[in-house]
Amino acid sequence: MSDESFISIKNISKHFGDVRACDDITFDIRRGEFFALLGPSGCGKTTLLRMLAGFETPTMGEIFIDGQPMAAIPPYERPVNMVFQSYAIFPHLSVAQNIGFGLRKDKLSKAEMDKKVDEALDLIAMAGYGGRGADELSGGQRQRVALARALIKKPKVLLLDEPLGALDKKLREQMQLELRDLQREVGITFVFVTHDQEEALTMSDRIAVMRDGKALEIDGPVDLYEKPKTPFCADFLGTMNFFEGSIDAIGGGEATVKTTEVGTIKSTGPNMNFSTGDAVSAAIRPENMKISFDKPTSGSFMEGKVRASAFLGDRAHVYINVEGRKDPVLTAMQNMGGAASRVGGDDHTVWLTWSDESVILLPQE
Amino acid sequence: MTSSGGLRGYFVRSENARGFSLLAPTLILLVLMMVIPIIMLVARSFWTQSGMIETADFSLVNYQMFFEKKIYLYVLGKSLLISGSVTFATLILAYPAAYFVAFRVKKNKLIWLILITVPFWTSYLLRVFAWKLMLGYNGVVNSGLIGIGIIDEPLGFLLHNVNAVVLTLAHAWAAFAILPIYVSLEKIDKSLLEAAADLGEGPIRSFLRVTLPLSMPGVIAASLLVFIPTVGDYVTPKLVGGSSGIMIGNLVTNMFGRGNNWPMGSAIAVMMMISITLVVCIYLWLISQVKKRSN
Repeated sequence: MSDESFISIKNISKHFGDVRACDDITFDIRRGEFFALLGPSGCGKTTLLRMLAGFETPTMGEIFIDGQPMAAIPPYERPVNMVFQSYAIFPHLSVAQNIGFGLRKDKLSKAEMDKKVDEALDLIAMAGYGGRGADELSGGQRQRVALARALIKKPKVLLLDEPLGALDKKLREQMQLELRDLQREVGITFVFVTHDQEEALTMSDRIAVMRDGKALEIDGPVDLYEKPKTPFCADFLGTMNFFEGSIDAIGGGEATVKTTEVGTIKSTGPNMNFSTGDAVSAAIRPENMKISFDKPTSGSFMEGKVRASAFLGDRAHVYINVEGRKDPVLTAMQNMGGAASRVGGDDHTVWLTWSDESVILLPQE
Repeated sequence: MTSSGGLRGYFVRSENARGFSLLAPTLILLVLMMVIPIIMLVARSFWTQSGMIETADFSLVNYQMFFEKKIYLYVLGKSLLISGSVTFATLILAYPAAYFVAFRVKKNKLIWLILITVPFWTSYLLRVFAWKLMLGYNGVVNSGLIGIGIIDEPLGFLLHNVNAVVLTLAHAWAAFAILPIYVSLEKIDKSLLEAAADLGEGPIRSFLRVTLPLSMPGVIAASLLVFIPTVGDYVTPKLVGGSSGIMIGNLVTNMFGRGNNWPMGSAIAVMMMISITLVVCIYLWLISQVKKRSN
């Protein structure tokens, strides 16, 4: 056991009848990190979390937490605690009783127990709420109580199942930061499940992107976003323009892709381990494609016509039709000094420019 | 709107009118079949009977008799005790069955629920008779035990006593207890049980701290549904109770039948209703105290 592999997931599979919810997953989670399992619904992320908690038994494979094999350990003896998606606040108990629920086994005196509960209430900024009933709480308060109830046990790992899913946008953003701060404060390893890519990017140290029961890529948020290795990951985290084609020439950190729709695209970006003739996609993020009203004299560019634009306040999404291409190319521009309003109406001819560094080569699916 | 006037308009506008009209059939039936007979019963309990003559003058003589002759209070007390035992036995039998259907049955729950009601497809009387056959001197249990050589002589203590009454009533009323308990168990969010396990409680503690308290509404409903009607039961004690298993309902039927003293029978019935009400009130008060204590 080391800090690098504090939680070790080894060849874990879980089958429900014919459905492979998790399919031979192997990766490690570091001690003290904020780790996200990200993926669309049905990708197996919740099943994996439930196997960590002990609510599901793996069909194959093994899980180690802090060097200890988990196979024979029932949920109530694991060094983990969970914040449930529905929060699972006991409706027949008060806030203080909910938070102190897990302390029975610690054989504390009444005074010690009250002190611990009060500390937990302080931690979630709900001092004085101990006597309230579970039905008198707002969504955000329920979430905090669920959190305090799990943290009071001082688990080695805190598991969170879509912890912010039930909250509205503003509260969610606030809780994202609070959770992040809390995790740093208590120093406990957090593993949380989400389908919200923004949430995963904001909160996590590392993210495992999952699809169809497999962990496709595991990396930090910045690297995952800027250097994705699979088209799924590139598309799931943010949005992406894909230009499909094949490698025309490659070498010396530089590649040219002969695309099927828009001519050749040069790349000096990540993922250069292809050879000539390989089917690839040249992928460019919308925010890396800039709109120019005059024909550029140098660099990479393509001509197009404005098809539609969506004004989002701080930025605008502009859809550009490029000759020979079926789907419009998406660009995102900051609305700095009212830039978005100068894009002009439909069918306005513009040029799209980008730097070759921002072109990511990806294998085709 | 064209129907804004007249009777129809009144119904459209008035929430109360619509509510009462929905309630009316039940209300009329209840007033005719319950309220009026009860008023008559209470009134008659203050009359007197001597020989064949019933006198409709106000008198407390029946109630005086009720408290003076120890037999009435004794049988009433015993009836309450028997019903209490029946309720307890029924809950003990019903809870695991309800728990099984609520938590263990994954498919075809409806079929299980229908199976639970199957005993009701035969008449109550037949079910009581079935127990008579089971427990009798030459009954199924005795001949079975003799057949496999455990006993030589039939056991005489199976039938015609309090135990037989409790057993028969517990069986007869089981479905009335299973269904409300099932409903309250079914409503429990399964993630609450996972949360209890997650917070370190094993199966037994999880049950005691989460499942049982959350299913209490069903348990309370079930106990009232069984207790209240069984206190006044007279068929089962008559058929399987013998002389030691006699209940207050038997005394009432006697007074209205062979005893031919309707005013006395009415007084016993009124005392029975009052005592049931008292017991139920005390029961509910105790539960609220326990709840307060645990909070």
